Amino acid sequence: MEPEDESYDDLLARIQAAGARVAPGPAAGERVHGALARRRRRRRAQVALASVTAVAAVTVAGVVVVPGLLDDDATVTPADEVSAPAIIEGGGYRPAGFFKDVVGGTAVPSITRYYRTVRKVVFTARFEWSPDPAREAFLADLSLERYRSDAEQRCARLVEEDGSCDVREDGSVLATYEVAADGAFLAPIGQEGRLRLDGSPGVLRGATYFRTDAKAVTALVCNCSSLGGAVLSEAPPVSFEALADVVTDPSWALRVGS
Amino acid sequence: MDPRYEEFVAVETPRLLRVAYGLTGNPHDAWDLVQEALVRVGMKWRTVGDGNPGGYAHTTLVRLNIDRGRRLSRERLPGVLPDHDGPVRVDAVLDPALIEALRGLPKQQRAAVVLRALEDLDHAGIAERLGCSVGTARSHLSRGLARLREILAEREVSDHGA
Repeated sequence: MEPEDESYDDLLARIQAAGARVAPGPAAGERVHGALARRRRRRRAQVALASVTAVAAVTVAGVVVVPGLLDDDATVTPADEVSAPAIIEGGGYRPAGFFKDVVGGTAVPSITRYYRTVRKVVFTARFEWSPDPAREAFLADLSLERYRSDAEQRCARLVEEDGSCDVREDGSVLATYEVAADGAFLAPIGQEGRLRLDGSPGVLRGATYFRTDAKAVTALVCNCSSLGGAVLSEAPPVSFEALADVVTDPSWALRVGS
Repeated sequence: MDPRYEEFVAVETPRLLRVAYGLTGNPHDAWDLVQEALVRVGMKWRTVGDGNPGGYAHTTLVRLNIDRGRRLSRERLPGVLPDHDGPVRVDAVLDPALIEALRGLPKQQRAAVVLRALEDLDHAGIAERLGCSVGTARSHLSRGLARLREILAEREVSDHGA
């Protein structure tokens, strides 16, 4: 303790007491390790993508070999990239329950692009959320400017290094996220801002996840960002094979919960 | 996963979380900071692990918070999110007046005060974490404590008058 600070002993003790009331929950370590694994995977994917790009530039046949990418002798076909229309669109994906009742607005998760290699499926997910302009209390209290900066920061974190985020003037959020479907995986995407609502008893964190496995993708809306949060709406799984069909049938759309 | 890193996470997380909570005033932002700091340590574990990973993590955490800008400065959180089995456990008996008063301080001052209170750092230690001179750290701490006292006194007067 520096002598000149001694007169603040009481304040410092009070802060210490407050700090002592916060502790890691049971899932803390698991989350850190999961986050680290994802970050490392993204780094590897970035390196791999750079390798693929370099190799593809000199490839004349339909098959390339990418040393060090998967296995040393793994054969990878060129990415079968397609542009798929939104799989969930039209009237929008209106989350049910708490999220819908309190926040309002329309959330539209969609798959805009995917491609696959022999071992990997990658899709670019798009999430758009628009506040309901009819909910004056929501908009009045939320302070659009603050919400936008909050959403931008959080989306930037979610799509860090392998995606993009745009928060528009009207508060809607558009984010893209590239995900390797390498087994059970929940990819948080889009609006995850903490929203305080005038007159409401608390705050709300909403998040949309795209849960993937090797064969399909499922869109979910949860009432918080954690994996343990309640799932409010869940779309039927859409297989990656179905995505291929979507490409040939742009009018196809999946509506959920509206 | 390096078992030493796992052990480091287990040991360091509570300390980081206390500081992060003091810096942010709510458990969710606190956890965001802690997780990001620990992930950054993990990404550099080969070089940092044999040195002072705790110091690296704490410095990262403090500077991440300063870099977050002013986006949350006007926000007041009235409740706890409906999170199940979340990464942070908060005692129901908090000190909301203090937390709010801390949030009213400029970030550098808040960081100096929190680091003094929760990490027991001297001026040199605070300066190192903040990336500033010792004199500046001394100033941040002194002004922060004085301002904190003022805010709490104002609140007390206001509460009594209400």
